[in-house]
Amino acid sequence: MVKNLVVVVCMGLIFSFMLSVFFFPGFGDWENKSVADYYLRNAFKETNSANVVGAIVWDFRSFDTLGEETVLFTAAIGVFSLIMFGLGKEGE
Amino acid sequence: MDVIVRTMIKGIFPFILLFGVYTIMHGHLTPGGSFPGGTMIVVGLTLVALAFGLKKAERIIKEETAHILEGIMAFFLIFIVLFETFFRSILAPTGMIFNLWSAQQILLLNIFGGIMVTMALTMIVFLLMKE
Repeated sequence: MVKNLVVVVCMGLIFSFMLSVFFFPGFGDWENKSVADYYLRNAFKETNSANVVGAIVWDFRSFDTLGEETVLFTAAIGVFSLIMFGLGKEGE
Repeated sequence: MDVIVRTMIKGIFPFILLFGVYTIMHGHLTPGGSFPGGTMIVVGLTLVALAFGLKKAERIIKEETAHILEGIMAFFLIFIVLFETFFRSILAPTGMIFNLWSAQQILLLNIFGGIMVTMALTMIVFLLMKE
């Protein structure tokens, strides 16, 4: 029962995400309804930062960057656990 | 390694560190930021570890210290990102644009993120070298 419900919810999510392709702005049509336009016009004013890329990465999309740092953290912990408790002792 | 390689790295190592710190500190003014700057510092540490051995490199920073610092910096990072509007309302009026003290929460995030990237990659490199 729960399994079927999860499958139905996942299929619905996938379908709605795929449906959103039709609402994208056209290729090269960045002036209309595009978030890049907003970033370029307002990054300097809102964030006080001279580097627009830094403003986007650390200000508008800071949760995204936090996810990136989490990936790095997970990689470090993975290497640590692999070497400290993992294959090394059994291999010897 | 050779005497030539050791002498070269002895001369070039402070400048690599300086350039990495510069890239992290100026992340809100020039291209770059925490990820490239942290990677540059780790490249310097890796060169020292390759030329002089891991003992000499661990005299600069130990792998256990890197582990602890990485966790602390991750905590700071999550804290600042969660309360970003609060930090902005406090710090934003104090900075002049194009100065080093501007775009305050971006500067703080770059510094903490840069230290975290440095520590994480240092941990990976040193652990893999120990193995």
